[in-house]
Amino acid sequence: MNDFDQRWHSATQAARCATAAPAEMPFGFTTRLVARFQETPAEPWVDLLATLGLRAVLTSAALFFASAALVAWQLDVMSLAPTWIETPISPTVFLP
Amino acid sequence: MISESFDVQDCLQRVRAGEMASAHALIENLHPLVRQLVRNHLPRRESEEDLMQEVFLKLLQKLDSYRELAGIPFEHWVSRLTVRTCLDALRAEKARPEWRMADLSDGETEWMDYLLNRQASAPSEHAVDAKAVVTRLLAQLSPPDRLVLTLLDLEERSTQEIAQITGWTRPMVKMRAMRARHKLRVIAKEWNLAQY
Repeated sequence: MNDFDQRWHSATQAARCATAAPAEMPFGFTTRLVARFQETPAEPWVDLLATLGLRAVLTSAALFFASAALVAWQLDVMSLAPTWIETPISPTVFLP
Repeated sequence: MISESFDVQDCLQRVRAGEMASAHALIENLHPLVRQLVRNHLPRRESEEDLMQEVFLKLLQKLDSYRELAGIPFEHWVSRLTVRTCLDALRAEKARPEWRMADLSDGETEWMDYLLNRQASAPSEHAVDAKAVVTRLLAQLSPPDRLVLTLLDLEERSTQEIAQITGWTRPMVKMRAMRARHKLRVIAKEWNLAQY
């Protein structure tokens, strides 16, 4: 532990001794809160996001874009395929 | 912190069933725990009551997602939800407060001098001033750094507890605390240089 850390430790130790203001509940707090809870509809998509987490959402987004890219590439190949068959290699080539 | 005579699980079942009298009882019993956490992690411009209301509102809305696990008390779930809500509020606070030597009281200046190594002994009998200086310095840190040092140094929680509350791993908590203290040292030195 260096000098600053020791002094910081002493300062936080002293800060912990500071008496906090009394923790009384504000008047009508629970009533206001319960009323607000009853009139606030739950947002399922927020809950879903919170449950899944950001990582899961990003993973599914990455998978979505990868599959979209694959589909786009496949469509491109399918539209090019007949062109390769129908177009002659060279119009000047004569068969014997 | 919840009184032992209060049956939490029974109360939770009643609240889930829509009994609002039980919701009142739950809020009244959890109030000291939530208030203490909110007080320690309160953003500068946020009202304590508003943030407490936000915490309790989330708590009531998410009550269905809480599952009782063996050995993990309900208070841990509440602490985690409270700390996360406070962290979101701290993140929403874009600007860090600026302050100068002239803003400090005599007692705060003594503590600042002590922290910056200009005095050999710690000022005595100035707990309120020490708390003010510690809070001012912590407010200069990023929200996660501030959170970890408040939990570790002011609330005296173990790294295991902090890991449970924040969802970080224990090595991550230790690493973040070490970096946060380093940043604090740099901030204090820069502040000192800027004053003279």
